[in-house]
Amino acid sequence: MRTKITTVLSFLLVLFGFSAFSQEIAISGTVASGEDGLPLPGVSIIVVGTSTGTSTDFDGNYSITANVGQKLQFNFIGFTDQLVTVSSQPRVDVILEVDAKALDEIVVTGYSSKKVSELTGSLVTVKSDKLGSVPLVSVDQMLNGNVAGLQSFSSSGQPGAKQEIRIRGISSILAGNDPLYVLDGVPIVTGDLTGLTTSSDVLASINANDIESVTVLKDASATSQYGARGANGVIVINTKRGKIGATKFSFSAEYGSNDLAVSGQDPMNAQEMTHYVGTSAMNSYGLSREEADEFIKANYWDGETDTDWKKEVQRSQATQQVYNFSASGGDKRTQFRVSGGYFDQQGVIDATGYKRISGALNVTSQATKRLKIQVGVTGSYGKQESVSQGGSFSNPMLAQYFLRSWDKAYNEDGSLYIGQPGSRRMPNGLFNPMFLQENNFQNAGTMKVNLNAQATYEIMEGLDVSSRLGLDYYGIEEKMYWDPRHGDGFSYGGSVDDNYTRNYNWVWQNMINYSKIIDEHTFRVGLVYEAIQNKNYVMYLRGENMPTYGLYNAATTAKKADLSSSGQNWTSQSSMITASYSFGGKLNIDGTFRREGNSRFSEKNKYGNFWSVGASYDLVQDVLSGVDMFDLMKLRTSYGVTGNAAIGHNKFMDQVGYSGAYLEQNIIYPSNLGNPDLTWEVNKPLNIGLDFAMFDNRLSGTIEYYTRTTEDLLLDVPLSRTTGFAVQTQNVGSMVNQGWEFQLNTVNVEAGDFRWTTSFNIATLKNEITEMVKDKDGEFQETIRNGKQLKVGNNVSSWYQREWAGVNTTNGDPLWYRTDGELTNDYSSVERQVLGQSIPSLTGGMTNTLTFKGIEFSFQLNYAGGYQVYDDWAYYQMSDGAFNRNYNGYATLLDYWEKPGDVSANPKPMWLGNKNSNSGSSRFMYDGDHIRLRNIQLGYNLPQSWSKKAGLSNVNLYVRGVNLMTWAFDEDLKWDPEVDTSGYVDLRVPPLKTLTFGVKLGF
Amino acid sequence: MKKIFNLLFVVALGVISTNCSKSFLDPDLQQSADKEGAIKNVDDLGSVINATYNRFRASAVLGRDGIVYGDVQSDNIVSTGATGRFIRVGQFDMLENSRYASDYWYNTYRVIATCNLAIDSNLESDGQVDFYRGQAYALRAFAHFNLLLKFGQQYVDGGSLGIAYIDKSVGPDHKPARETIAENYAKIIADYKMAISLMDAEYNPSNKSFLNLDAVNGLLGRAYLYNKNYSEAISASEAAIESGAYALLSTEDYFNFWVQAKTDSKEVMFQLGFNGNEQLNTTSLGYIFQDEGYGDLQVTSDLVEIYDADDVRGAFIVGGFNYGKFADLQGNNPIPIIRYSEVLLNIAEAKLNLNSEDTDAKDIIDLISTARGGSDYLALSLDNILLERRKELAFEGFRFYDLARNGRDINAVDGSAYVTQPYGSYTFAFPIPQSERDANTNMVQNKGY
Repeated sequence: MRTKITTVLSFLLVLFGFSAFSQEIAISGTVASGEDGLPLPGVSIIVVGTSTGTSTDFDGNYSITANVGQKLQFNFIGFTDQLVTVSSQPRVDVILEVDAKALDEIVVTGYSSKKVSELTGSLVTVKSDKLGSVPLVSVDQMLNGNVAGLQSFSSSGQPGAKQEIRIRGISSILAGNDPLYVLDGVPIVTGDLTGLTTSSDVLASINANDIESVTVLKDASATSQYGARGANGVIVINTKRGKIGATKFSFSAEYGSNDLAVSGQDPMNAQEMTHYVGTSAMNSYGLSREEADEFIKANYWDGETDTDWKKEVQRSQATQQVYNFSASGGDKRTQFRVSGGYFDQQGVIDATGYKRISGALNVTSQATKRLKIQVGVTGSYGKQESVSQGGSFSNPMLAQYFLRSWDKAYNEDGSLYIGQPGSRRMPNGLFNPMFLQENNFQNAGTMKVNLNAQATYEIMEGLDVSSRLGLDYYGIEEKMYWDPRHGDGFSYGGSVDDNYTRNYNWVWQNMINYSKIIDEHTFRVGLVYEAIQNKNYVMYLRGENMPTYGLYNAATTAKKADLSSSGQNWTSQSSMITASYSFGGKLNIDGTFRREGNSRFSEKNKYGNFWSVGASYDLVQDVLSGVDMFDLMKLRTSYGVTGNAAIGHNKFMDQVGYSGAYLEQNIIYPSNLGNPDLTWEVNKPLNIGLDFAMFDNRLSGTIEYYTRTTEDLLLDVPLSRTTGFAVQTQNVGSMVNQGWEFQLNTVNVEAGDFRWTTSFNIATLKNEITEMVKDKDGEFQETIRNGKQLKVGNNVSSWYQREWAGVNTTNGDPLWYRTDGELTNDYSSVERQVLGQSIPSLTGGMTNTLTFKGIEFSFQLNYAGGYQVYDDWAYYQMSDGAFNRNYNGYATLLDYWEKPGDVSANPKPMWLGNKNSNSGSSRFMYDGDHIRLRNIQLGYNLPQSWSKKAGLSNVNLYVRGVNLMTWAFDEDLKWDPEVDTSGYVDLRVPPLKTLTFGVKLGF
Repeated sequence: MKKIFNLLFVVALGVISTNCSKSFLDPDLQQSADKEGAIKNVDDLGSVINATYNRFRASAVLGRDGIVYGDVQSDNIVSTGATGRFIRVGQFDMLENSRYASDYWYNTYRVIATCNLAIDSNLESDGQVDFYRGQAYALRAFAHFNLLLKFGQQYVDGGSLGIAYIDKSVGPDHKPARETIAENYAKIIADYKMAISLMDAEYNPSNKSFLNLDAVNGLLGRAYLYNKNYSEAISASEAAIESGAYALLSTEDYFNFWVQAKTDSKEVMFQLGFNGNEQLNTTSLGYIFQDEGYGDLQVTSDLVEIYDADDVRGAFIVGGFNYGKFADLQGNNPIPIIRYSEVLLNIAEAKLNLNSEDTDAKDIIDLISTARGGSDYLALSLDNILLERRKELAFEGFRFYDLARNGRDINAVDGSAYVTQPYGSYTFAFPIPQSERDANTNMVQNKGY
């Protein structure tokens, strides 16, 4: 080889008449990556000004011959080029630095990828380093606070529970509001697919450690590509892939403990209960304190028991463990990445938790010069253990407040007390939650397999055709067991419910992409054809009457109480054309048109047309060309039409149903009054934005204004009941969301090894209903749904409540404001009015990162404000005497009125309650405004000289905390302020506060 | 270059197929079917009739509420409000937005929509098809009759409005107005007569949980009686029992028939059936009547006192609660809709109205009274017929209509939650539900609401 090169070189030298005096030497060395110090294979090395060249071998070694004084150029994709002047030194080792700009340049939006400079739409990409640094179950929880305009609500702190994500507000009342998730270019199925009462999210089955980046698409220019499923925004997830180079291994382990992020209300202890309930008896019946105490001891309390149920239902120590392993690498032709992970999170409430084992394999191969094949497979099994929620007596969250501190939890022998043999209930009719936590269970095991295969064939320079197939499979096995000895299972002699859900989704996409660059002009055109089919199948059975406890299958039950199965499939088929033009990355225009057909709709509305147009212009290159401080000043706008098809199936058709029986014979009845005009809700987003970067990119950011108009809003229009139907879903309403978004990234300090950066975002959201169903007089109707008044002019989440005015200091009566401003103690005369809203009008987040040598410290603060949460269980817990002797009460109740002149938070306690004081009013409504320390992390990279000694390429140690601090602005709010969009504090398992230690090893 | 064109052709095909590939985008129906063509054969038609029974026996229709109304709005029972059920109904204090009014209205029209599904089906006529369609006509008449009794103004001073009669499947834009009481009765009777002409006794089901021709005649007799067409009431009622298949049971058998919830009896002509998998549980009649369940409905002492010591019907009342009729706490017992004794009493009442000294009428009330362990009546009078009806049909939802039909006040008795309601008061009709009037401006509200 060398002789050949020498010969060629000699020939060339002769040819070009170079001086024979030039000193020719043989040079060799290795090329390594500056990122991790690992050798880089396939780096091309050229002697500048000649055609002499070589490339590094698998171990990063090269050798070449050149003359002293000539320059060697080292070039490798994704890294900055490096020039080295040849001296007499025969060994030249080179370290190539990662070219951050090159990596940032391409954004993958699903069907296509584009250079950042060519974008006209609103999208935010969150990279893996930001995502991976939060030890949460699923990726949707990690987006919280990172993306302006994205609101994230936890419906439950139950590990593995569904997170509500809302991008730019709520666009629909009856149809769905969840964004579409796209994994490696293919829309996937997400959400809660469980059938029993657990809250569970199939998204939790994706291991965040396998994710390279998440891109949130917010406006028409980006989402109209997704047609009828893009109305609520799109979240594009790209998984990690192998890179060319020696195989890299990494292993990480993390261990820590969980606690409640917010402790919640405290129940009264036995002494407090006795005092409080006694006071209500004294106020109502004129007893003395001694008589009241005696009465309580005679009827309710043994005088000794003092059970702290809140403490009893919690685990003494809830732990969390995460382990991940990956190997990746490849040569020029084929790259791979394989990974495995284990995640185990115990909830603070006993008998709650989530475990997941997952694996992923990604292979990319340049099969021939023109054909590239990519295959990705991910699989996981997640097991969620949960407890009953809401008003169920077996909900431990409810039991911790509704059980009385007067009642014992244990028998004298230490076993759990489960009531008298006949009733098997606690003295106040509830159950012992510990017994149920120990013996009952409610599990969901989710098996997920996702296959993604793609082949791209380059027909000629700039023209390629590709085909992509996505298979998405979920199987969810749920089992709920009620022990026959105690609780809900007692009256059934024990029971078991089995629910099996299978969801199978396939997506097939065919694409042609053409791009042509003529001087400054870049043209791109894409054609897409896509077909989707989703098949859902559910099987359910219930058995009752167990021969004994500890048997969990219906086979052993005497009574087969229920058995059913059902299936639901849908299909869609779309064609799309996208086109864009860019003038030197300075002026960009693009457009999309998509025609989509969906099996849900009638023949005449089967197809919908969705489109968008967008434009952007960078002022820096022309208008501001003389101004040095600006690096970027790009104006963007887009407008378009997307749809929301997340509505019931086949509602257009008159249907008959078959469910039920009459004396075990079949029945057939009218089940749907068809609306042939039913169509998708139409969403029209307008976006205006400005991207800027200044001072050598040390200050950069985005300001955006948007409106999202929903037309053909689906609403239930009441029908004359003489038709046999109460309502029909029709496209009659409209609604507008609008807001400002502000995102800012700064490099505050960059001095030597010290670097401090800040990333900040804040967004406003204003929602208004603009059209509703009309009544008989042609006026817009108003309805009340879930405690909110839906009315033209209102925010869609407007709380509709009576206004609390506090306690009458003279007599301890409850007081409310009437709408005419009058104070009254007569609840029935108080009108309801709009008092606040349940969806935040302002959200934001801020992340600070400080690095010094190997040390990195970062923390993220999230903010949400301008909304109210409502404690619906206060009706019992703060009943001012009515329920407190039966169901205990919050300790905050002890601030009550005793004598004239007292200024107290709560009215005078009375045995049967005080004038409806506990009925729904703003008394139990709290401002949700809060700041939360979402994430804080301190990490240390061991110096390479140390890790090398251990045979490792790098070692990183860290400690981090999630939700460590929460500051609620309303000091009366004891609950977690982060609730779902309904705004109710519903005795859910609260979110977790997690503190973990971890280590990452690379070798 | 040829290759390129081939590839483009394939993708273009995909694009074109978006607009013509119908089968791929066809709707998927696995648990339901397109109404068009859903009733394919006689068995399907039978299943639609089963669905009407299924909807009739819903708790909001005759599974509970529709039965309770006739007693709780009378001197028979009082809602104690133990769980807050039937309070305002029992106090004659209903509002336009009453859930009871709207549920009863809506769910009864759901029955009617199901009847119309059967009636509108165009299967070729044969004996069984005609019998099923006849049942549908009869059930449609019976559903409208029940609505008329509750929402019509026949017992309200100066009232003439009935209800909307739905005689075919209607679409979402149907917003009917109320017809007159007379028009309603004409249609009810026409539907019953149509049923009788279509139903051949040869096809009578053996199980009384399915409607037979005799019961249709009996229900027609009831409609004629309530509409004061006494001679027709007599002939229809006599036609109902002429087969001789029905008889009064011995006192012991009668007691057991109710308390042991036997599914079939010579006393019953038509009933709504239940079994262990289909029972209403906590929304059943048993659960509302018995104080082991909700125990909302307490028997008045006024009713307890009318039974002779040996009258088996008095033994149904235990500790002030009805433990006899609909005795299964979870509702696993049939609900009789028309019984032999009622048909006899209908005949007696009609005959008395034609001839105040009719001996048949006197014989009927004596026959029933003695069969239950009571004694003969001293004389024939409307009061005595109503007394025997009260004894015999207590808790089965008749008392209010028996009084109202005869122009009587609804007297408050000891413990009643209402003051005496004079005949003709607006409270003798339920309010037309607000939800109906919100959606249908043609529907006029009853007076007083």
